[in-house]
Amino acid sequence: MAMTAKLWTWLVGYLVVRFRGPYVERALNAAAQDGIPCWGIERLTTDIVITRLSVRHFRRLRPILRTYGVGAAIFERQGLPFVLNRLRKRLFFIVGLLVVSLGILYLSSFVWFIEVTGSDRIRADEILNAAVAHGLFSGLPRRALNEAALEAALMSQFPSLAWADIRVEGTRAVIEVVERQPAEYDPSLVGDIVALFGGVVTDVFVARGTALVHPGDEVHPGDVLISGTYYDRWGRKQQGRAQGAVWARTWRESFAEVPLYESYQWDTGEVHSQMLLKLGKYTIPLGLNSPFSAYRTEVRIWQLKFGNHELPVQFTQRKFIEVQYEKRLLPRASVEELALEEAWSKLEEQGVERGKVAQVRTAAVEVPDAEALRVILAVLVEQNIGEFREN
Amino acid sequence: MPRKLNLKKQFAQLMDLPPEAVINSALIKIVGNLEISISNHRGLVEYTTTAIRVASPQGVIAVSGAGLVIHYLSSDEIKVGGRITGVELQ
Repeated sequence: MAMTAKLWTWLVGYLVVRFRGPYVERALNAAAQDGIPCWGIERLTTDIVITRLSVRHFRRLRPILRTYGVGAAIFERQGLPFVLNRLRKRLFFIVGLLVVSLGILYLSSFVWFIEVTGSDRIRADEILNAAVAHGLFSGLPRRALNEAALEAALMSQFPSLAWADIRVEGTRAVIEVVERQPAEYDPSLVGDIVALFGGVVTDVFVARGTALVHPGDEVHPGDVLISGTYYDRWGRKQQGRAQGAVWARTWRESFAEVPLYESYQWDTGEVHSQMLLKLGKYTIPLGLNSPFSAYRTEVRIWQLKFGNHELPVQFTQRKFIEVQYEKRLLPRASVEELALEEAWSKLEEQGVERGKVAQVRTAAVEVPDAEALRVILAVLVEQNIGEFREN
Repeated sequence: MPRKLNLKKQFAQLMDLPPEAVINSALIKIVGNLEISISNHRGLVEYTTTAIRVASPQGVIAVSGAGLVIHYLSSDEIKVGGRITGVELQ
């Protein structure tokens, strides 16, 4: 049979039938004469022949078979109608699959996740809020997103942005920004140099402006040390940017608290897991939440993807592992040492150099409620305490 | 009858027509030793895996071979496959 004929018989459906009897040839002849073609005829034994014929012909075959005393049994049903019939038994499954596929397809046409990258001094959530205010929100149809307009809006709202780019990757919109570098020393500003810390002035160096303090003076935080007001060589009063440095011996303080008890956790061995289905911005829990009062969680996420595109379907498994807490008293000396070290590192973060400290005072106080030890560290250092403040 | 047949045969030769279309005779096509197709047959007489006999206006056509299967059977055509070793007009 030709290819198209084969395809056609498959489309309309055919039967594989077993004929049994001494006059099978005659029955086949009679069928052929009656316009019932058969194909794939195979002799199995002396009285059994297998043949294939189309479904609609089988009924017409019955009187012929009776005439020649041939028994017929259907062996197999082949072709599209039978496949469909089998599928119909799984109708709900197929319809469900279709609905879910269409649902995913539909949900994929929305922006569900918004991400901000590249921000440094501007907080990412500020940019995110601005984007939401300008119409990019979770649940926005992708077609409705006007990238150029939003980029322009972000640029005008945040003047410190040098560049903003919005692109959509699947169901995720990525806002990529680049911030301008902060302006370097700007001599056009007008202002004074003020004291950042209190202390006793040891040395003053003025590059521009008028010194208001002298070695030996005691200054407090916020006091003006070098004024931006000065008189030029023709005696004219000028306002400018004060420049210079004021060294002072200053007490710098910091403190740190370290708990006297160490709390540690151990697993009890009880575990409970919960599945979560996330569709777009909706999360559907499949199963109960944690039955434990104290637990740690392990989370595994399966993200459905189509190629490189993230589909808005996510499965999450949350494993709740029950834990118990216990407390252990720590030796006081080591707690104090730890707190002192922490206090030191806080000072070092603020620019104090440990080797250049003239005097050190420490005090340890127990903090009763917190069951902790507080160590106060005060060091005497000589440093530049001036900081420019714009008028 | 023979005269009529002769007439038809002459007509077919005259008009350069395929004779099997004009005079009722069997047309046998053999593809190597793999397949034999017989048009204008008069029905299957015998079918086993080693021998197939088909009635035709010119008598019985006997096909012998091994593993013979009937690929297709309709009122005017029969196609036999398998390893064909002989075809004989009886």
